[in-house]
Amino acid sequence: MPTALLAVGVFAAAFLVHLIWWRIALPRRQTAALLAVFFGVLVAWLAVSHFLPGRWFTASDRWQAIHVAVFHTACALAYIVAYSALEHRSPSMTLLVAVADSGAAGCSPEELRGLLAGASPVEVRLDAMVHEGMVTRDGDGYRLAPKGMAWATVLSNWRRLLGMPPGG
Amino acid sequence: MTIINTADYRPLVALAPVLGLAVYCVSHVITARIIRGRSPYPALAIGASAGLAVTIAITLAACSRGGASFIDTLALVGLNTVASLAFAFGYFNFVNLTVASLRIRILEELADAGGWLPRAALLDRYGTASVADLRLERLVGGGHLVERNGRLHTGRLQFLVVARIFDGLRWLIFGPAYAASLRRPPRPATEIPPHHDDVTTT
Repeated sequence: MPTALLAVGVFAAAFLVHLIWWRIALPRRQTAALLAVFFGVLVAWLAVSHFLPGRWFTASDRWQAIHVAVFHTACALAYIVAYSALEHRSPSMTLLVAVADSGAAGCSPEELRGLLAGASPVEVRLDAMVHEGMVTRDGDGYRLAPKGMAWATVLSNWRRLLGMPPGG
Repeated sequence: MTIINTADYRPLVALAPVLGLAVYCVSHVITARIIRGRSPYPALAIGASAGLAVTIAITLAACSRGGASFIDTLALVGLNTVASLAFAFGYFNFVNLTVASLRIRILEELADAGGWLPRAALLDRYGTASVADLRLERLVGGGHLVERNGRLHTGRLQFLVVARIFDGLRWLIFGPAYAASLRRPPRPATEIPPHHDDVTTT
C-alpha cells in the first residue's frame, strides 16, 4: 500500500508543479518543459529518499524507489504523449465535436470541409515542423532536416516491420 | 555481489509493467505480420491485452510467492495495471503516428523526393479538401459518424468521449479562455483579411 500511495503522490506533485507553471505562463518549448518538470520531480524525490531516508514521504528501500520510478515514467510519458493532442485539437476531433454540437440536425460533408478550410491543417503542421527543427524553409520549398530524416527513417522502418501501408 | 535476491518478490513486482510492455511490443509485431494488410488496430488491441495480462499475472504470482497481504496485493496490482496501461498508451501513440500522422507522411514524402519539395506541391498534395475527406472517410468507416439523408450524425461515442475529456483537461491546464478559443471553429479563408495577425490552429 505505501508504494501505491508514494507513486501516486510523486506523480501528483509533478502534475501540480506543471499546472501552476502553465497557469502562470505557457513555456515556449512545452514538451521539453514537461519532461523537465516530471523527471525533475522524480529525480528530486529519489535524491531526497537517498539523502534523507526514513521519512514518511521517502522510499523505504531500492526496489520501492524503482517501482515508484517505473510507475512515474509510464504515467509521465503517457501524459506527455497525450499533451500534444491537448495543445491543438486534431482535424478528426474538430469534425467529431462539430457534428456532436450540431445536435439532431447533423452536418453536411460540405459544412465539415468548410470547418477545416480556414485552418489549413497542412500549413499548421509545416509551420510546427519548422519550429521543431524537423524541416527548414529553403527557397519556395521545404528541406528535410537531420532530425526529420531520423524520425522518418525510424517510423518508416517500424511500419515496414509491421507490414502496414503508408499513413497520413 | 548479489544484485537480485531470488527470494525477494519486489523486483518482479517493480519490473512487471516493463516486462508487460516488452510482451506487448513482441506480440504486436507478430500479430501485425500475421494479419498484415488489414486494420492495424486489432493487432494493437491483442498486443495490449497480452501485455496487461502478463503484467497482472507476474504481479499476482510474485505477491503470492512473497506472502503479501490482500490489501497490498490489491494495491500493487492496481498500480501495475495503471503503469501497464500508460506504457500501452505511449506505444499505441507511437504506432499510430505511422498510421495517421500527417506530419510523418509529409516527412516521408520529403525523404522519398530526395529531401526537398516545393511548398506549392505539398499544399496541393495535402490540400484541405483531401485532409478533410480522408478524415471523414475514416470517421464514417469506423462508425464514429453515420450518414442519414446526406447529413452526418454522431455514431459511436468512444472518440467523442475522448474529445470531451480533452476539452476538460484543456480547461484545467490552460484555463477557460484558452480552452474556449480552441472550441471556436476556424474562420473560412475568404473571411480572413490579408494582413491578419491571428494564428489559427487545428
